[in-house]
Amino acid sequence: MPDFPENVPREAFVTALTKHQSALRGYCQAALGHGEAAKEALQRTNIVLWKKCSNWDPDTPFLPWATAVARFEVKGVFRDRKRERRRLLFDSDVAEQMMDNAVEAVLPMPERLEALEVCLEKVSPKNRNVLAAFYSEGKTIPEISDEEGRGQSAIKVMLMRVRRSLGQCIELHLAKGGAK
Amino acid sequence: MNRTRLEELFLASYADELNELERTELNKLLRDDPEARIFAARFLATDALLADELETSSNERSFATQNNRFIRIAWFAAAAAILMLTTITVSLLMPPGEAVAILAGEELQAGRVLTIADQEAKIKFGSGALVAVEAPASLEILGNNAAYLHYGVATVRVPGPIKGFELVTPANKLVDLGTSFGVTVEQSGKTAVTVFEGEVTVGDRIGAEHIFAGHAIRVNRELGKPSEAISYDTTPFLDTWKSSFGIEILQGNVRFAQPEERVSPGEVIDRNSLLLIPEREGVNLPAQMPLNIIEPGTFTVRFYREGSYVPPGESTAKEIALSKAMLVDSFLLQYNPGLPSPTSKDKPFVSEVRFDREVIGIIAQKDLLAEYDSLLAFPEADFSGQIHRGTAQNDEIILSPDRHTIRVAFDIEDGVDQIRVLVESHLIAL
Repeated sequence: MPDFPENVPREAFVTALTKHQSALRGYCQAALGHGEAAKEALQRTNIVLWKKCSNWDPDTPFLPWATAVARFEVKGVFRDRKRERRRLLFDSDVAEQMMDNAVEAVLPMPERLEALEVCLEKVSPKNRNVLAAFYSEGKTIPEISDEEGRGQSAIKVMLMRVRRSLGQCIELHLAKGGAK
Repeated sequence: MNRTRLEELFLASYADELNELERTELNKLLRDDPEARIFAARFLATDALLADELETSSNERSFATQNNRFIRIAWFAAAAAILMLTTITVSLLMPPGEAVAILAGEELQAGRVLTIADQEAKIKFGSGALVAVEAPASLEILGNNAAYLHYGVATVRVPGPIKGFELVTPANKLVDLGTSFGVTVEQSGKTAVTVFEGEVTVGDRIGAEHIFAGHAIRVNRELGKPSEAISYDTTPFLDTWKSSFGIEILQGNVRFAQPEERVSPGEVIDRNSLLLIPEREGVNLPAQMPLNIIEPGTFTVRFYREGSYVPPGESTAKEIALSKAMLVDSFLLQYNPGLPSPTSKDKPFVSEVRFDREVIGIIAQKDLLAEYDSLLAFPEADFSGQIHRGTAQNDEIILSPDRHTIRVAFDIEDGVDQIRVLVESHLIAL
């Protein structure tokens, strides 16, 4: 871990980096899609942010600076994987376009996270377990199907519906300015 | 933008099941379509948030099971249900004489028992299930997706994605597999179930009976004994059926469509009454979608499409676009006499409808109605037999200042008078 320059309070940088991890992960994923490429981009971004922490003025917003760094790293991952002929979700031209849209998607991230927390509370425990198994534990649909004792099609349909409803709930919550 | 297809492809991508053809299709959908890319970016960013949030909650649960002092399950901290009342007084099951009124919007925890002494109550569960109960009745909240009807008449509707709402009765347990049924429980405990839409199971897994739409049974309390089929009759449930859609007041020459009329609104004929028909629920109305009315006021113009010919002497109103996307439930208000009748001509039909949610907008122009049938009409609805949909020159539509009430005066001529009313969806709960 690098030494901190005197002009950057350590606590402020660490707090900001921790607070915006979800947004940075969201940016990398919005630009590169799901999968290992986005994880690699996030890891590279975090390393560069640490190295360049002296470039950040604590009196300015952290996220615009961090996403500018992330964009550079996302491009790097894209370039390296393409050279290695590894599978990427987006074609070059689409990826470039998605990088522009990714910034817009993550800038209201704190509000989006708050909306997600409110909306997730309304998901039944049973469906929440399936969501957790899929999205955070990384289980496959056949694995979830076996555990739940339900058909794979039923699991897919359920995931789609709940995910769609969550998205709608979040957008509505954001549109209402966060009112419950 | 094909939102559904994008969601399917991203789900397959998350599950690592996207083949090359689908990957190419995904890129084609996103290429040069800014709206699709904005949606995709938000969707993917939200997936990242979702993964983090679920992981955080899982870590909290792991900690809780290791340390009994902190047994806390985050998602049960939310209220199990929210009570929506119209103008009734609800008594809790407390010592005699200690009745307590509950206010509309109050959040109810599991274990709460409601005694409905007058009129009706509508309860929205955390799962999205809706239960409308008619007095006299007693309903106990069991959880986010379950209740016990001790006695009374109730309609249960499960319009959202979360199925499996359980309604326990003295006779047995009913599970809604989607989407609506009526149940009567007498003080003696005798229970009858009428399934309007979808499927209901009666009893536990082993030996459970499946009851399908259009059928009704009297539930047998004895284990292992089959239920008795009875005649299908929705009449006892018409009030709770109507309440379950959030209709607080229905006055004038208007009635609410029965369950069996909902599926084929284009074919329902009633010379004596306007008909209010529930259509789709939880529809994502895109921003910039043109509507005819979006603000309170009185409207007596005939609506024409932008750029179309307006006969001399007639006035018209411009189409107005919503400024942002909204989640709505859709209702049709129509007069359809079938063949022209001398008694229906020039007879004004006046009606008033009050919703428990705000009216977002109204569509009253025939081409606009038809254009959005695929988005807003009940699946399989067929309006091909209807001519002259929309309103005519002497019709009047009023949207109240609080946006909850519409009043219409249709000056009936030949053909169908019809408007589509879009209200704020109750499907925020998941």
